[in-house]
Amino acid sequence: MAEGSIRSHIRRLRFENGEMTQQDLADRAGCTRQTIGALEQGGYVPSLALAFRIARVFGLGVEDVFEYDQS
Amino acid sequence: MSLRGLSQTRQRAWLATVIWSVAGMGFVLTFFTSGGVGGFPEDSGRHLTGAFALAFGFLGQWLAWWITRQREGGPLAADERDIETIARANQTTLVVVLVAIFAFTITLWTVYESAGSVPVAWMWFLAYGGVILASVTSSVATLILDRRTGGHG
Repeated sequence: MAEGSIRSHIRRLRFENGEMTQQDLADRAGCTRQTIGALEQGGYVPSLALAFRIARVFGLGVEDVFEYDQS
Repeated sequence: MSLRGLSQTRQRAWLATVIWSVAGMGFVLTFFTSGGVGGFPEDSGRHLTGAFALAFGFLGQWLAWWITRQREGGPLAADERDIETIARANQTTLVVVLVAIFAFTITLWTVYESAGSVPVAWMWFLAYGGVILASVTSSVATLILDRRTGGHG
């Protein structure tokens, strides 16, 4: 099966939401600041539940925050 | 190096690496110095020192866990990424310890096959060494895997 990667727009969305800090987003999404950092760097693929929670913080859908890159 | 600002998982892994490395050095020095393998079974002082090294490891790790515990009202200390990292580190540890025990016991077999018996001190070494190896491997693997998944803080 072809393996793709997940790209996130969290950094941009934080910027667009009043320079929300990683810690603030982490607190609201129920994860650690380090995980937000890892997601922004593309080093970690979140669970579906965490992806939904992060998207809800921004008031968006999952696909507006995360992008599946199959290349 | 300061541990402040690191995740709970990284803090614990660093502390465990240091604590169990010290315990491991104490254990190796105890076993191989002053009399070596031959004189070990009758040397109760060295048995006690070895037990002390192991107790130091466990108590030190318990203390490190307590110091880095989740604080009431504080930010979340660990999440799904930490659980995944620790699970993968434990898988790595299992393989490393299995390979080490296999290699060690087969080496004993090869060396002492013609003699027909193995010095009993090696059983003590295997028991204590297995615990220390597993602890060091687990903490080092956690540090490596955490870094690979983007955990730099």
